[in-house]
Order: sequence, then C-alpha cells, then structure tokens
Amino acid sequence: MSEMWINMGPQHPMTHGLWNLRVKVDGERIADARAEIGYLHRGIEKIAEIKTYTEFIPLSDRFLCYASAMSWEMAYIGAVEKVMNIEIPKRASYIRVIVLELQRIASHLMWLASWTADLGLLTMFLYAMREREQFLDLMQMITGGRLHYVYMRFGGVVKDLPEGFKEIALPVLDQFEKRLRDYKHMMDESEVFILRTKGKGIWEKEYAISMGVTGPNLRASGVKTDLRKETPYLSYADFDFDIATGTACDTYDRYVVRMIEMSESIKIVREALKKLPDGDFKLFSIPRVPPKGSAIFMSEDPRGLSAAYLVSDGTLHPYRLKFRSPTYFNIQGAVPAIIVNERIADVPSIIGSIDVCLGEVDR
Amino acid sequence: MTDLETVIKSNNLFKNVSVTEYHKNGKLIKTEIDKENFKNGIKILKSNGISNLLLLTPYETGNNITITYHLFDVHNKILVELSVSIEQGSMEIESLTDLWDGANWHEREAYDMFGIVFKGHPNLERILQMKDSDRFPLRKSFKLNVEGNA
Amino acid sequence: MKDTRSKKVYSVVIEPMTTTMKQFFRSLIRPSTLLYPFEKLESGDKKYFGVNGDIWSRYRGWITLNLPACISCGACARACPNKCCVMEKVVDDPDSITKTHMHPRIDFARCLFCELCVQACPVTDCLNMTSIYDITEYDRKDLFYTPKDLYVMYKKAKMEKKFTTMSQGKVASKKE
Repeated sequence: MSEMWINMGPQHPMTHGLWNLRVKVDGERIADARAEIGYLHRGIEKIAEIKTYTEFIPLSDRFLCYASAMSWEMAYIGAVEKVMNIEIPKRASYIRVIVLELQRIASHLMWLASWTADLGLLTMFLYAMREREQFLDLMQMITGGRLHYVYMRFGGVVKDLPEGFKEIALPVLDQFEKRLRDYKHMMDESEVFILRTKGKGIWEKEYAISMGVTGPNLRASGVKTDLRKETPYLSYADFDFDIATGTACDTYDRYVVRMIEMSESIKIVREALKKLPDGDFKLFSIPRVPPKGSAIFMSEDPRGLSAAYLVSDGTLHPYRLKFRSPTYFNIQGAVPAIIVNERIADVPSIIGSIDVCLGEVDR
Repeated sequence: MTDLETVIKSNNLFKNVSVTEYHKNGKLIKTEIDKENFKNGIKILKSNGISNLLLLTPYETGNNITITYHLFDVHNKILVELSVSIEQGSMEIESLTDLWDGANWHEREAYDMFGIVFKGHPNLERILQMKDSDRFPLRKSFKLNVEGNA
Repeated sequence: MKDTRSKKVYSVVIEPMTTTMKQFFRSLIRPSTLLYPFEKLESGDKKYFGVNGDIWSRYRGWITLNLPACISCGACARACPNKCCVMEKVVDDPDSITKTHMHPRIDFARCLFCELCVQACPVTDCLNMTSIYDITEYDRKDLFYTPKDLYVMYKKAKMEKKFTTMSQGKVASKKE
C-alpha cells in the first residue's frame, strides 16, 4: 500500500487558526505527521521593544491569544510588577482572580464549542457558544470590552468592580453550574461521542512532560500539577478548589478535565465574590518605569503554563520581552505523537482536544 | 537524589547562585555557567530532577548574547534560571535536543530570531518566519520601520 | 435485563431530550439571537439571552470629542499606543477656544478602542467614550475623523445619552 502526504491546513476547519498539519497516511491510518506554523507571526516580541510599558497593555491581549486575552494581560503585567517589585492591594488581587477565572470559563467554553463542532455535535456547539455569551456579558460589565479588555494596570486594575456586580453574577454562575451538569450528562450518554473520544490520542505522561506539555492536557495525562494550587500567585491561596486530573491520557480525559475545571472556576469566583475585601483596587504610587533587572512571571493560563520573561534596562521600553505560549509546546508534543496510528477521521477531534490557539503560537 | 539547591550550590560549575521565590512555595534558583561547561551543567541538573526546558530567551548584552534557560522541575516546582553568555562572533552552542525532545522548537525559534546555531540539532531551520528569509529580527541591529505605520 | 434496558432508554433518549427541549422552550421566551441590522442590542435591553444587568455602562465604543472643552494639551495623542490619535490644526472653527487650535483627530480604521486616550484627558467631559458600536463605512478613508467630525459625534451622542466613560480631570469643561 502506498503512503502519501496530505496537507490539513492552513485553510482547514480543523486547524482553529492558521497552521499546516501534514499527515502521512497509509490507507486510513496516520503513519507520520509534521506541523508547520508561522502563518500568523506578527513579531510581538519585537514590537514590544518600540512601545512603552503602558502602550503595550492593549497590545498584549490582542497579539496573543484572542480567546483568553485577560490571562495574557496578567502574564505581561505580572512580569512588569515583578521587576518593579511591588505588592498589589488585596482587593485588586481578588478582582484579578475573579476576572481571570471568568476568562477561564469563557475560554474553556470556546474550546468546548469548537471541539464539539469538530466532532459534529452541533447542538453542544450552539449551547456552549451561548453560555459563553453570558460570561462575555459579565466581562463587558466589568471591563467594557467583550474580547479585548485592557483592564489590568501595573499595581492593580483600572476600575473597581461595578456596583451590584455580585448580585448579577451569582445567579449566572448558579444557572451555569446546573446547565453544565446537564450538558455533561448529555454528552456522556452519547455513544457516538464516547466511541470517538475514549482511547483516542493517548499522550504518555513521561513523554508529555519532556515535551513541555502543560495545563489541562498534562493533567489529563495524570500529572497533578497546577500553579494556582501548588505555588499560589495573586490570592489563589485563599480559595478552596481541586485540581482535576485524568488517568487514561486520552481525548475523553482532556474533555473531562476541562469540564471539571469550569466548575472549579465557578467555585473560585463565587468564593472570591463572597470574601471580596474592601480597600483600594489599584496601587497608586508605582514607579513610572521598571528599574534595571529581569523577572519571570508564570501563570496558569486556560491552555497551560504561560510565562512572560522581561529584561528591563531602565528605559521607557522593554529591552527584551519573551512570552512562553503553552500551545506552542502542546502542538510540538502532539504532532506526531498523539495522532500516529489513529484514523484520519479522528485527527480533528484529537487535535481539537488540545485546545489550539494560533494567536499565541505564532505571536 | 539530593536536593537541587544543594547540588547547584556545592558544584563549582555554577556561579553567582542566588535563591529566591517566583511564587509562594516556588523556588527560583538563578545561576550562571560558562559556555564550555554548559552541557555538563545541564546534565547534572537533569539527573537531579529537572524535567523540562520551560523557556529559552536569548538577548543581546553588549557584544555578547546572553541565553537564559528556564529549566523546570514539574514535580517539585523548582525553576532554575541558567544564563550562559556567547560571543556575537561565534554564535554556537550545544543543542539540548538529545536531553529533552521538547527543546527542539525552542532552539528553532532562537535560531529563527537570533541566528544562534545549535550544534547537534536534528533539523535546525526557521520556524516562524519564511524559510528563505535572511533576517534575524530580534537582534538590536534589525530596526523596525516605524515611520510608515506609526 | 428489561430493567437495564429501560434505564438505558431513560438515560440515552429521554434525559438528553429533556435537556434539548428545555433549551428549546427557553429560547422561545428569550431568544439567543437577533436579526442584527433590523434589531439592535440597546442598553438596558432584557429581551434577549444574557445577564440581567446594565452591561453597557462601561462599554468602549465610538470616541467623541467636546471641541470647545479641549485645551490642546496633546495628552491623548501621547497616550495612543498606535498613534492613530494625532493632534491636528483646526482652521476656521469658532468652537475651538485655544490659541494653537490643535485638537485630536482619530483614524478609527486603526483605533484599538483601548480607552487610554480618554483616561489621559485632563479635562472633565471632553474626550468621551460612547456605547455606539455600529458605525461602518464602505471606504476606510471615511473612518478618518477630524476634530470637527468628532464634535458632531459628541453632539449626537449627548442627545441620545450614549456616553459611557467620560474623561475625568481636574480642569473643568470651559464651555457647555
């Protein structure tokens, strides 16, 4: 049987962005695969060097992942704050936790929608997109933007939570928690769904670690690791939540881990709203530019471990700003390891299950 | 397996060791190493629990290029920030792809953006830019044309 | 045997069906979508699926300029991340009260709507954001707004009460 190479992408609904997955097929089986990225490269790390620190905040959520802009704002601002060596007020860090967790839910819902569309479950696609709309509404209420927030500043956030936000947000969370249970039940009872996900796309634990795979994908492979829990930043130490882990390392477990993560995020937001302390939402006396030095800020992005490494030379512009994009390494670890020996029809669902976002891969 | 911090502090390959925290409970060990001992140093770290290469950041410091390796221990949450300095004239350093497969795209990106050659890399080619590009955009000598668009 | 089968019918057919039917009836009461150019989302609208609160009070929409209040300080132009907001001389305009007649013009084709200019403005009620989100043109040159155009937008937004974030500053607006 002759083998041949097939291009999936750059223009292909499976790619969720622009990248080229070249697969070598032997009949229906995948024999080998290569990933080609770079179609969306905009040179953000170079642009950062000609912008001032404040000017780069709106760009940090546009140039990186457009589905979870807030967590990238956090990564950038966290790195700058580390170099400045400032401690933000308690209320500011609570507000940050609230918006980051709302963002995580919105991002996971976006993933759920696109992944179920890959599988052909269009009902779930519509439901997930609609639920996401509620969280975008909440974000719009807090920040004024639906996708690009420009909400965080050095030393806190730009505006306090709006009046009566708690009363509006809590019913939304309660309602969503109930519906999430319904949806999960609806999916799990679908035999087609189980057949197409269980045992597909096995990601071995040791291999995943050495490839730099992080986040829900690594947790689904059985590694209990979460920066929010184990090395708490902001005020994550104050909240009670669990780390979701899987055991089977397959597509189905990656789905389960993300579903549990959503309900854990709801718990965190609810608790943070309840415990929200009084005080300033921003530290008003901060240095204009960071001093000479370097710092790394790591955070738990919806897609994995994201980091920003800033080298400052004391001028108005960052000297060097480097972002670690989790999806970059997730794709590196996924191709060809988790699609080899699978059927070609399963490739979209397996690749979709790692939550690809090309905005942050190509930067 | 002994504690990573004591290993680094007792070994004279590693210079200027300082220990801080990147987050609560997360130890950050900053250190420097010479180019000659670089691979040996990384091997020592790997045998003492470092599980993957988290971030590879080259940047220019005067006539040299400093490459900062962030090496992460997933299980114990220890981050090692290892800096190695190479001269602009001979932009060569040993590749880490034989230790971790995950170093592959890190090094391809560093080659793409800075032109650093990693010896022993299986396929060192451009990853984000076009294959036939001859530019190394993140070097300071590469100037952005800001007049046209700003 | 029969018992597990009826259980399966319940969990495989009836329960997921209930979820879908619930959604169906819910969407009859409160639709999830709207026929966009004919119907528009307005602030305080509770007819459609979404949260039950005022989500528009901080919206970052079209930017307007109260030209008579502008003091030509140029803070907005300096704050703009991609320099789409640039100071420009306004000729023959009785509304302009400064000596230099330099006021911001905004190229909305390149605007990020990041609100940094509004936050930088030192005058109260001068450079304001509105909840207007649907201005589209066939030519991108038409999205190039001179200070006078921005003042026209200001008057329109003021009449329709569309302001969301108003510039806050120590300098009070000089002319209403």
